[in-house]
Amino acid sequence: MFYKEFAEARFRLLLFWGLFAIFLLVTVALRPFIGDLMGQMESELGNMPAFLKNLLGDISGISRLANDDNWYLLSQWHAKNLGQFIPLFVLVFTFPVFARETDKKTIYFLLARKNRSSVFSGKFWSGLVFVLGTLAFFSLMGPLAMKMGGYAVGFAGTMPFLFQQMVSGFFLYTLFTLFSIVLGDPVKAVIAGIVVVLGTPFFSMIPNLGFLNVYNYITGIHPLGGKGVDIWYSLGLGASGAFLLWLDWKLFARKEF
Amino acid sequence: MLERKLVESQVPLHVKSLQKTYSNGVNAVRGVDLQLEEQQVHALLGPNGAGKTTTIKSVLGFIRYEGDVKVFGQNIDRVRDRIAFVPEEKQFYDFLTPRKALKWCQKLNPHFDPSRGMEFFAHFSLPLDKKIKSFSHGMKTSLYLSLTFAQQADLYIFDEPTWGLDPIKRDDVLQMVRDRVIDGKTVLYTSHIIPEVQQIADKVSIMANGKILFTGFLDEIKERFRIVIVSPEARLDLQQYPVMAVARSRDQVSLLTDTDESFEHFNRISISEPLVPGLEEFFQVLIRGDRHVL
Amino acid sequence: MWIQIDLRSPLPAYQQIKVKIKQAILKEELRQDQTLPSIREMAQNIRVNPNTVARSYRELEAEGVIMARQGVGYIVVVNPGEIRENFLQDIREQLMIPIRQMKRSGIEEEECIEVVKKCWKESS
Repeated sequence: MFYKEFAEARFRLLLFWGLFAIFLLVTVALRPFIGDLMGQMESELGNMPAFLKNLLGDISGISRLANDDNWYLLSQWHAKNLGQFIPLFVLVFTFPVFARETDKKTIYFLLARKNRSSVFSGKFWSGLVFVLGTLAFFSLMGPLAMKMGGYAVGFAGTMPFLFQQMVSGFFLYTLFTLFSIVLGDPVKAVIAGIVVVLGTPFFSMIPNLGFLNVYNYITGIHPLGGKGVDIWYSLGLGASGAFLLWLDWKLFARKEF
Repeated sequence: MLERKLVESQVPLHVKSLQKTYSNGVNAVRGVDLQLEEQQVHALLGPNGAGKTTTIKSVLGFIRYEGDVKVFGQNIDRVRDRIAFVPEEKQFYDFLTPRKALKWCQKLNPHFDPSRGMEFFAHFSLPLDKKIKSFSHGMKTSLYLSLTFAQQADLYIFDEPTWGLDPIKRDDVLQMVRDRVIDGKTVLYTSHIIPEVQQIADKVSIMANGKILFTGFLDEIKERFRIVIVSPEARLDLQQYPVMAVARSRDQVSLLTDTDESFEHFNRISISEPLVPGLEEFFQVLIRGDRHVL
Repeated sequence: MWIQIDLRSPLPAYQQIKVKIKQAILKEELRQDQTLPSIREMAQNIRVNPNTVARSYRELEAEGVIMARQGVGYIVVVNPGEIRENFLQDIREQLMIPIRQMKRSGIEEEECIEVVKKCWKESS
């Protein structure tokens, strides 16, 4: 099934692979400029009167950006240029997987010749492999590209980000697959997905519901703060993903075509 | 040689008391029984909306239903590699080419024979490396059929296979169905085109309004039935002389008789010559007659 | 071998095939020991289900008109003289329908024979 699923998804996969590759290139290429800029700002700040410094608040980040390549990698690549686009990537990849075949009725070919669990497994797991594979690849390419650019980074810092990205990818995939299966129409599925992607940050504004803003987890706020993997959130998200996976299967099994 | 064996072993398809009511309340199939015999073409003939496609979808497990369906004596999920289905829409994957489709089907199905697929492609003159997206409806049908026939299934199910095809292609398709019978395979074929069914079916089940009104061999119809025309004012003593169907129109009443007694009785009071019904006439009286169920 | 099946005819397709084959034997278009077209070929040519052709062949075999030979197919095993009576029997069955019609309409036997004579003259 991989073969056909890949052929079907080829365009969207290549699009994001290209985009991520460009983002990575730009991120690495800009390092020296950011480094210089931050360095200048640091000296400017040094000459500022004390009361202005207090107004600006915590400026240690600027110093870190100037001097710490590893910090640059984590904060600019994992937490920003890659991290922020993960939900969009997973959405664009996932929304047509089930919905397009249902809408275009090509799914009859499969459903007649294979039973439901085969059809579901084939599509679901191949899609998940593409998603997680892409995320893992570009996650690890972060430190690798920096190293190739001659910067001093290690892989250790990337590990907790990679872990959280995998869990996020899994969760988002099962969620968008739900839309793809239930709504049966690619347009509805992508709209529902966009509502989720754009709406999630707003949870932070609601007292007590801030934890529903998965962006914080996806972009790795926890490891960025030097606290490693957010174990409880990971478990929660992983369990939610597992539940959604079960739901995806049940709904697909019962669906009438 | 084609010999009709008495099938004690696996019956290709056995449907019992099939019922389906959609969630919007439409009662599409209201108790259908169907039994296919090996090496035969069984046509499911009926007007649009009769419930043919719903029956097929139930058999294939695309929709939920009540009743019992057995394929080769088993639950269909266990024998899917032995069945092939061509839906009315015939949509295949746009982004593949025929050549790639062949490769993929091979991975999907154990009995798939790619060389036969190639033969069919050549027969239909399909461009091997062009994306299916650019194909016309006729070409898509040819492609779908090629991939289906190359599958070497034991039971083929077709839903209106010749729809949208020009006469030459239609003829081709019918011949390919005949060839499957020669190969010893079984075919279930839904259609609303009577001349086609006459050219291809062994057995026919006539379906309307969710029910099957008649199942029998095509040849049997001419031997067993007669259409007798009587005047609308004639007294019909149907208790004593039962008939298969009564179809009323403004100036005549057509009776479909299948016993000698009923035939003799009504023929005496008929207003024109009795007809030996071809499939067309048989179908008409049966379907119209269903609306006046007494 | 070409046979036109008349779908409007009161005779089922398999009967028509049988009659036509017997006709061909009578007219010596099909000779004794000649092989009939295969079931597949026949079904394709006249556009019917192969089982229909098979039934015709089977029944002809049972009537002793043709015989199945392994590896060759069905061959004709009678000559025109032997088939005559068999053929006439089939024709008699076909004639029943118009004759019944005439009887019902009150036509007498002599009139009926006149009609037959006229048809015989007029036919090509």
